[in-house]
Amino acid sequence: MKGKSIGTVIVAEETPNPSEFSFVLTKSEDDFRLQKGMYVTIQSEEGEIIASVLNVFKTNRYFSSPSAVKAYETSGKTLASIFPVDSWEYIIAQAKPLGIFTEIGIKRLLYPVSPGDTVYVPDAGTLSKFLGLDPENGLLLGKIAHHDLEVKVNLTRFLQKHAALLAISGAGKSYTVSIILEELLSRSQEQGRVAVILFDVHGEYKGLSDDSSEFKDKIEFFPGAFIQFATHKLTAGQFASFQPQMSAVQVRELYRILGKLYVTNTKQGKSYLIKDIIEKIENDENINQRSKEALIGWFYTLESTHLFGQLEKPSLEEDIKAGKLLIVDLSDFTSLRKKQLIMSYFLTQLFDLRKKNKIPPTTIIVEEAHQFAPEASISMGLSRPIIETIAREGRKFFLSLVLISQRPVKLSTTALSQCNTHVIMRIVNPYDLDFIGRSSEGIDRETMDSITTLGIGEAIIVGNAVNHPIFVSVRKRKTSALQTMDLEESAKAYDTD
Amino acid sequence: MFLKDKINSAIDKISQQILKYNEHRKLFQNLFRSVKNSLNPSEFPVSFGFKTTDKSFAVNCAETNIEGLKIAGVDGGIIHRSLNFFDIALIRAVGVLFYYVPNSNPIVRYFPEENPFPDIVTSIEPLNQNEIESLISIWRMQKEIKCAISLVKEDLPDIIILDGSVLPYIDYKMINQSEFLVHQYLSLKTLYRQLYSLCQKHHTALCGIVKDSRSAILTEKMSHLLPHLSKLKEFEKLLEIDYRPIIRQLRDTDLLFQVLDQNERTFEFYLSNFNEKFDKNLPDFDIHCFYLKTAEYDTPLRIEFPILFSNPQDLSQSISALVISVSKYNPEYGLPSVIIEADARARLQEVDADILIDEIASKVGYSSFSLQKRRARSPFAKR
Repeated sequence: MKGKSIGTVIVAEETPNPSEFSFVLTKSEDDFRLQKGMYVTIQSEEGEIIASVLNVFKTNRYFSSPSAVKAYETSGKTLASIFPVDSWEYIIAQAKPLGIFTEIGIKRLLYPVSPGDTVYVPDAGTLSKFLGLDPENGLLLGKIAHHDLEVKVNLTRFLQKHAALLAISGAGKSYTVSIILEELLSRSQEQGRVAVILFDVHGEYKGLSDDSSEFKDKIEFFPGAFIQFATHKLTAGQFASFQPQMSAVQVRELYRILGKLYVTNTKQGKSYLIKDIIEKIENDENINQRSKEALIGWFYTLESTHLFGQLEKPSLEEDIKAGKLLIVDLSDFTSLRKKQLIMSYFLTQLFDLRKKNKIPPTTIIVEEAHQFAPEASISMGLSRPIIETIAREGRKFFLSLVLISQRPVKLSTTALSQCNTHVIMRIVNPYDLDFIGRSSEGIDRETMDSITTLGIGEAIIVGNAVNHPIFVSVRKRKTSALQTMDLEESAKAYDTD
Repeated sequence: MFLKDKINSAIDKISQQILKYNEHRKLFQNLFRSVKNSLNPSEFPVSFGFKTTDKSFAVNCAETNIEGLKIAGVDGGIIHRSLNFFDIALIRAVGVLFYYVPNSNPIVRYFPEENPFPDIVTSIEPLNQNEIESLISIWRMQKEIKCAISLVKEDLPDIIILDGSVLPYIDYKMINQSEFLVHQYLSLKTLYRQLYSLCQKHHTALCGIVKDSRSAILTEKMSHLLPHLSKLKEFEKLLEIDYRPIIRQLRDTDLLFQVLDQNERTFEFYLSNFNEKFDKNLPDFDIHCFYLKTAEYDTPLRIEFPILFSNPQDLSQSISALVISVSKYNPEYGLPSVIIEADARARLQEVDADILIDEIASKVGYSSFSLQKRRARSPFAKR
């Protein structure tokens, strides 16, 4: 159903054509403020043609000749005091048809709209359906810029094929993540709830589980100091992923050693530690001396991380629950390698548990994803293989990734390309922009150009979650502010202490 | 001779002509500039065709404060197409009134409205090309004068400026073979009389501004007068050469561009009376004329006005003061702002006529192409 009429299609340079048309605003600016990025519609026999406004500009014959303007205004009077210049101002918009919304679905527009066609503002229902939103059960991320329409993205379309949130520092990434978390935690059993695990690199999300938070009962915050791996749950392959230099022969020997420990310990209901593995390697007579020394050296290195124990903490099987959020605090760790080890361990376990259906469908949120799945060599990113595996295969087991990064160009291409929905906030680095342009499906030149101009809290959603790129003003949070301080506050706090 | 040589030769010839013309123009400009304050046109012998009360060739005109005044302008737009069976024209006229209120931008009103839909007029009279052109001119003037009449009736401006002559310039000999045309022309004259009478009644000054006048009435009369001015020292030199062919080349605005200073007008002079021989029993009006320089680097405007009240000299000063006040802003373009705005509003686009012809063609079953005359539908012409 069409809304109010705002303009009329005009003939401009080689337009209207199937991919562009121009229209003149027939309402006064006081009645209707036409803005770039708005959606408009034109009635056709097949259905409603929906278009987005690519650009808006004003014309005025009195100001079209610089020399005339200068000549008149040199007299000391403004043109407005000599001529009725206001009545010559016209607002022209260039619009790009996105498709025709017909009774049987959305069709591509293969013919031009007609000069003289009336341009309307689409009503919220039509626009919502056209953009592929889910007003009933979707996640409310904000409002479509310039329209009074809530952006409710369908859970499956948004997360099943993974999502990426890309923006420069300070653009509102963490804020947007907290909105996504609030929405996931607000879902009822009937709507379908997923479990969420968030790796909090900077300790920003602790506030979400404050006593004042309406979600406090649904959030478990796990401090980094207590993180522990269940050593006996790790396979030779997983140990090898911690030490990418390990040769195939060494992995095979380790496999054998762990097999022995399984028989002597695990099978008897007893766990074991790194020192038990070291002891077994030392006492084994079949491993050649060089491999033995290398293996022992690497295990001593692993033990020095103090991450390996008897029990898994947090216990994924116990703490990953539908409709609940587990925040794993990594902010105390300075060693990137250690953080990667933690990521690698827990993601491997999560993947395994989901495959065995021992935990509910889960969404994994990875902050600073370029640190955990860097495009650089695997030795620089121990957790990259498992992130890439989940990115490729997680969809089948309903294990979703939300990768968050401020340097998409440094993020694994494999992982990013598997994220079918991109939430892009302000980005200015030309390399990152270029990379986004190449890796984001359905992003066009006009949308790309808008990325650098996005304000704080504004985002573009492209990809699987929506039928067309949409500009979103991210909604206000329900939970308290994230635990961040500005420089001044931090300096005061330090001095006071 | 090669084509290139022929072109170069033609260009040289034209350049020489321009240079020579400029030289002559300069000579006369300098001459008249030097005597403009010493010549007294009111003393020129009547037999030379000058009827004026001004005592100086050039008269200084001060601009006036226009606060509280209503200044109006009227212009028309026309697009004409000759088709195989008939002529069709789109015509509109727009009146613009600027009401100058203190400390604010002028309040603007339009007559009949800001963007009036044009009249679509057609003629199936069997007229020749000259008659058609006359008819189209008559239609346009009828529209403009009707617009001016409604403007005066509705808003009583202090001055109303027409774009173009204040007289219906139609060569009667060109139209008197067609009863239809004569009738149209007489209707036009009636409208003019109505406008004059209305302005007279309401004390509204009326003038027509010819922005690109090609008239040579002043230079021609001056050329006859020159031998009788030989007592002036400045003219002695001129009498040594055969100046007559030179002055015949000059148009009034060419001569006056350098002679007049900004805010200066020529002496006003009687141009014509409104009535023709066949108008014996109808009210008559004297039409006077002068040239006014409103912008430093622009040619003077030719201003025609009927003597509706006051006297020619005072009326010339009042009209000049008002015209200067709304034309003074751009040193290179001295046209009144009301006329600039009216012109922009009245102008029609060629595409409007194309749309109209397409619509007619679709109704009568012809293609718009075949409806048009051959000259407009050459298969090789760029469209």
